[in-house]
Amino acid sequence: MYILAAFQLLGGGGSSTTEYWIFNLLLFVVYFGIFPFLYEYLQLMRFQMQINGFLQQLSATITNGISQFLGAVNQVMAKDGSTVDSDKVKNELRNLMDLVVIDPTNIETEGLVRKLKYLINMYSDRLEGDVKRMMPNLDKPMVQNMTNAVEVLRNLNYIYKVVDHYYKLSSKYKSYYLLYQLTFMLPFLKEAVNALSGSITSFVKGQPIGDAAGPLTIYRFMNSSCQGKASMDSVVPDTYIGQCIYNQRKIYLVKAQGPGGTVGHLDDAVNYLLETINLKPRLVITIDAALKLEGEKTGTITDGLGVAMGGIGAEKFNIETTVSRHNIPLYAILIKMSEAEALNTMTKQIDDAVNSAVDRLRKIIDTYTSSGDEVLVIGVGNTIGVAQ
Amino acid sequence: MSFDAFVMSYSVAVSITVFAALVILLYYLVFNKSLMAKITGSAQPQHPQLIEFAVLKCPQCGFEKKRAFNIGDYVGKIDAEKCPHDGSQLVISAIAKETPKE
Repeated sequence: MYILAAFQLLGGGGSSTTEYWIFNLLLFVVYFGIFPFLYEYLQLMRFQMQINGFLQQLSATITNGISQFLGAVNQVMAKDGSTVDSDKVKNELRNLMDLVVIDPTNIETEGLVRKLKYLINMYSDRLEGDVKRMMPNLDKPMVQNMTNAVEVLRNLNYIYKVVDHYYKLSSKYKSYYLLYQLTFMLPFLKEAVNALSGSITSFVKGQPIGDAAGPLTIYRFMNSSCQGKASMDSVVPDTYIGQCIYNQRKIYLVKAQGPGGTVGHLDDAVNYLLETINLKPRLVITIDAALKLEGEKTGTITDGLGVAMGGIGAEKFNIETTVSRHNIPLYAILIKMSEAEALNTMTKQIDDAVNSAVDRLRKIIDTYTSSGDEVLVIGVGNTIGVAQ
Repeated sequence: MSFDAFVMSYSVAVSITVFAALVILLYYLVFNKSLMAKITGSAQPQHPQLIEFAVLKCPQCGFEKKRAFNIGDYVGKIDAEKCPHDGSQLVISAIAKETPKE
């Protein structure tokens, strides 16, 4: 319109046919030659602002997380009267945050799950070992909790690096479509970052998180419904195997060994029970926290068939392989929650849902098994803040 | 009204409108921080104040007591506090957080 006004002021507003056509041609050029590019450029700027804002926020979250970690380290050390070199711990923490786990090659799938499990175990051992070296005075549960906090910081750092990479690449080449894709992903990334950032406090304090709903169900069932509790100690590292009697059924209970933050080795425990001591359970029931959809209510209990277990899938594969070899029905109880709720301190809503999950577990055992049967119940998830 | 006069007045009116809209937009961008935060995506979600608590339970009579969470607490921990009814040591049966109204 300014161009048009200028055009007219400069004497282009005549009434001749030639001038009329020039005016129309100019309008055509403005509408189809300038506006589309201007619109794209403005969109590009808006996307850049959004992603830049996200990256700044994420950077502040990581810095805040590191401060929280160092604060907790100093607090623990102060209890023993010892001190810690903050800069040294910070450097070591930065190194751990940059630690890369290289995926095994998948051009030959033979033994891929075994290799994945080997890598996961190696990664956990390395992280836990390094945290222990950083703070030698810590007890095992505290080392496990701090290891979880380091793992969260590592994930946040990874998200930052990847988003920053695509942001810089798209800005470098003024790639509208690359920025478009990145902007589309922002809500999911924000959800993940919000979930992770809140969990650092929970891990540092050693509070049960939403994901501990599975192990907590096992704890509540064992302590409220069972008689004659016994445990098989130190059979599988970081994993608790217990047994008790419920309504004339022999129940075997498996969960990660708490109260430190660990997910245990549940597949090894199942393998031990079914292959080594030749247990013949009538049912295998897994209880786990499951991600809810936006429209679903937190704490909803849902029945399932199969192994309820998240993660990379290696342990799930092993349990499925072992249980299916013995033709045992696989039932599951799912406790619905959001990603943020799963990684943050357990809410009262989820705590109440655990009681409902215990009721559902009793109902499944009563309905689908008979007196004298053996049942294997597995509480899946991080057992932080939940003992046995 | 001649065609020239119409085009002239139309262009001036549209130009003034667009200019006014740009001024208002600029004002909001500069002075309205929440709008700016929405556009750049840096708005912080508002979280309600949550209270972390531990529930102590008597394993004998089922007596329950709620208290604030302390570092070192975990579910299954035998607490120093005793049951007022039978003197048994209370055990932490739940740790969670809730909004004050819950």
